[in-house]
Amino acid sequence: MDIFSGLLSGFQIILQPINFLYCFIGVFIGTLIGVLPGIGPTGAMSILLPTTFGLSPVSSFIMLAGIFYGAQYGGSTTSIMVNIPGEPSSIVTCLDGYQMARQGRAGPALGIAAFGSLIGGTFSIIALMFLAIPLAQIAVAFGPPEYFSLICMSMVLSVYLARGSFVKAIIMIIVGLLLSTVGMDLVSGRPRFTFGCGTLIDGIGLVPAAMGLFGVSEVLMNLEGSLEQTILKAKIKNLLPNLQDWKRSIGPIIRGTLLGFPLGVLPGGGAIIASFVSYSVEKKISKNPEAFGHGAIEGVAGPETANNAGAGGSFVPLLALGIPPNVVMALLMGALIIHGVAPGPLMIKQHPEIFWGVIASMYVGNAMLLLLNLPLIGLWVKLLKVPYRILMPLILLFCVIGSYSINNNVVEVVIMIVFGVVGYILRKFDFEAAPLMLAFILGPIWETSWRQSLIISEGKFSIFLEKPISCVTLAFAAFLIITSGLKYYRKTKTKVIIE
Amino acid sequence: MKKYHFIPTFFWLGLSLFVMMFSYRLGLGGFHSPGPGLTPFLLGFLLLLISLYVLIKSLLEKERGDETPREGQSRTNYGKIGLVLVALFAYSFLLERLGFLITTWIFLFLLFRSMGNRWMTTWVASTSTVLATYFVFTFFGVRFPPGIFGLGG
Amino acid sequence: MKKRIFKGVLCISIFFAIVCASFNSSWSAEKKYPLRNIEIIISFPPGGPIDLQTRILAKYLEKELGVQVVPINRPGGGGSLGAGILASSRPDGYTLSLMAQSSIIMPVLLKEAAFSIEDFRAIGQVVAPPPVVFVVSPDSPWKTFQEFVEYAKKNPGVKCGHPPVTTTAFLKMSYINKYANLKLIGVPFKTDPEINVAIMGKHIPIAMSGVAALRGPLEAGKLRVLFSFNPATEIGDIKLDPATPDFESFFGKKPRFDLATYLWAHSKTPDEIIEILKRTLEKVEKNPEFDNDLKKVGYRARYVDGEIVMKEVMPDSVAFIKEILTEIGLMK
Repeated sequence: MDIFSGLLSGFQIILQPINFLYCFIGVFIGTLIGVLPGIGPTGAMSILLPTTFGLSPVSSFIMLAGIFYGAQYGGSTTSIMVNIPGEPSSIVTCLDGYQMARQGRAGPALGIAAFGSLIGGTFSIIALMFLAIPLAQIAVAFGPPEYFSLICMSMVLSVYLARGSFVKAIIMIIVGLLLSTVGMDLVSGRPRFTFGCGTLIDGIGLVPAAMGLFGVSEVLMNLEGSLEQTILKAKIKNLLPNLQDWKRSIGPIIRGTLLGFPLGVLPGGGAIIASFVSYSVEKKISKNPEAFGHGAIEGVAGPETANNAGAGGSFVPLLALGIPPNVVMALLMGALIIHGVAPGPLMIKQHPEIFWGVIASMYVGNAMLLLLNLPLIGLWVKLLKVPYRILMPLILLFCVIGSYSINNNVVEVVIMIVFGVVGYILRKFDFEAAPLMLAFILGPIWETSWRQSLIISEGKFSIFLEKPISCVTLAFAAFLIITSGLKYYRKTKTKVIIE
Repeated sequence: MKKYHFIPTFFWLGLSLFVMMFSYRLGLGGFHSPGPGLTPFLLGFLLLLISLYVLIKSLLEKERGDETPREGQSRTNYGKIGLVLVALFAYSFLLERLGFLITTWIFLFLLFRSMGNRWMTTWVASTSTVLATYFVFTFFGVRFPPGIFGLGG
Repeated sequence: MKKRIFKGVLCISIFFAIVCASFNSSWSAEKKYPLRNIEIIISFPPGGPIDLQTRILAKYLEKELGVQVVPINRPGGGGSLGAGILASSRPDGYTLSLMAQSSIIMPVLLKEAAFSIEDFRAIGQVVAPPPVVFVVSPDSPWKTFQEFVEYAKKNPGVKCGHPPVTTTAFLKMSYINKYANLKLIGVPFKTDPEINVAIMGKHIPIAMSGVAALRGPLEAGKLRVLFSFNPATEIGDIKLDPATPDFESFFGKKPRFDLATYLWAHSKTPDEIIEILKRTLEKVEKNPEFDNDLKKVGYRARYVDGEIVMKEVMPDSVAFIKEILTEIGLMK
């Protein structure tokens, strides 16, 4: 079945009323989930999974998939409005999106996030159609050494996330990596740094940590001064991005899609790495990198596009190989299996209606999401006008419920508060949370890949250079370090000369 | 070049030593069979090196008289911050004892009031928020702890 | 005087009324369990084998019991977090969990559990031992398990991938490794799909993996199975070559132990409730549709009464797992 007839049949499927309805339900719930903290797409999908038992496999998959990529749209909303990432892939959006909101430009930020998400999402579907099988082969080529090198490179890039000094960013990365070792060790099964606390046995939760580090610390910062200031005083300018915004964003959007999709394909990678890498790349190639971190729209356009492209990309291994690259995909795979369908290379042949039905549903879903999210921008912007003295307790409650609701565990709330304090202290001393967060998220994969590689090579470090992909990636990372090192050195030299 | 404060540097130094000590105890294994403590140990060591570098650099700068005074600080409202933190910890402690509805209401009431809202606003905001969040989140399948009278479970 | 007598009669009647009411309510509790939703804890992340088995079981339990049986994922600590939650839950029959016995035994033996084995009571075995298999890539030099065994013995240190130390697949791999003296070096992976990718990409030559995640790639010929711990017939709908050797056919005798999934409740749950659950479970197990649903995910139903589990299977498993853990150095 060639692509066009396949797509046509897919559209016939999605336009059936029941599938159309479930697509809408899926993306709607997904958006809500993305906005609400704590409950992520995985949680919502597993709650709704039993309701799909009575449905056909196609309808179930369409709805569950909708929840997933819908959440990528909603997650940026709270990041921009109150510096609280609704989804881990929206953490980077906090950096510039929130600053834009503080400057009264929440509307354009939300708008460009929505449009970027649409473009990234749609492009990834197209790529999915044409490139699924060849890309899957590339995904398989990544083993432990390749992962290690890839993540090393991501971390080098992430130093660019920082606004300030490199040394501080490096310290933050190390601390982030250390924090990620808390919990049960994969290789030996022994708990590390848990100090007897049962909740920590699976590590520090990402959601409480992110909400504390970004959301709560922001609240604490705002409480410092008088209550008059903060976000809302800046006059809310237009609601949508203007021509200049678009001009600045078109490059990041294109680059975001190109970067995001392949990164999403890699198992373990996904939307999160895509967003971080996009931000770092944009900052590095920008003509005025100092604007980043202070409301540069490129810092919103790129990552938001990348994370949606990445979400689309993560369907590739599942649909083409039957291998779920992350937890969400694993759940989708479980759902398919329960319905008697085995995802894998044969699925396209045996159940073309599922493959094409889902692809068509993604087009429709993304369009629905844009229509849903755009009018909401007006609503969100109005919310921002609420005085901070009313908004603040709500924000805190939001974070608290979010942390609690993951596991019905109060300890998670305490973790969040602790991270809030830590985040606050760090900011007072000019350290930044973003590199820490990235290192924290990537830490487990990084460490596991490293140890697996050493076990496979029996202790020889040369394995990282022997494998071609790994070698190239490390060389690139080294290149980045050297070039920035040179720049830094030259800058200091000039400073001394001036003095 | 940013000015480095001493407090965080000493903190990182202490932390790196602590980490190295604990990870050593966990067991380093060998490179052919990395143990649970190996990665944290190496990371701690790296942190140690960097903090030493920063420390030495700052000491050198100080000798050169490079101290720029901190920008004039307006009096920071640590009181408010402290109050919020106390409220947060208290909430965590009481949530499972008193139940969601009661604890959240008290939490919100205290915070709204401390932010300078009028009594009426505080009452209305607290009550409506508690009810709204209860229903919205319960709809999504989140379960809250039942209160002492079995309320709001 | 009349007033006094009246008061006395009133008090005694109230007393009797209360006594009768409490009798009634305890009878009604027995008759009417379950009165509200039951939670069933899944100690592993969604989409995994235990998750799938539990959701299918929950569907059928719901039909029989008439209340919602809500599966809740509480992954962590390789299964010990969920077990801990069950151990500290109220013993009223409204919290259950589906686990392999290793999820309970291993944390206790490794002294990292907040619970003890006596905190749990098995209602019954639910699923036949989850099959685990040795997989290789299609162009691997070993065409049969026999070839592999011979190679491994001559070349100690073959790298073999496996899921985390706390899983049944790992325990079974260690068992075969020791039993057949294969001298394998284990490469740990976090999930079965990661293992499949590593095999397909030829990053490791062989691995032991659960069967549920295998189906797609296997049917497409991207992976090959050399050996299955349990007979191919027990592996549900996943079509293995019937000539694939299993433990008994290859080594000539049944494996000394096996790990299966059981339904657990808190040990202090009242006997009446346990009885109701047992009868319900037995009914579900006998339902051919239940077996069919399990087959779709690569498993088969098998029922064994909880008493047998507690009296025979558990002590056996404890002794056995202790042996393996000491052998691989996790226990002193």
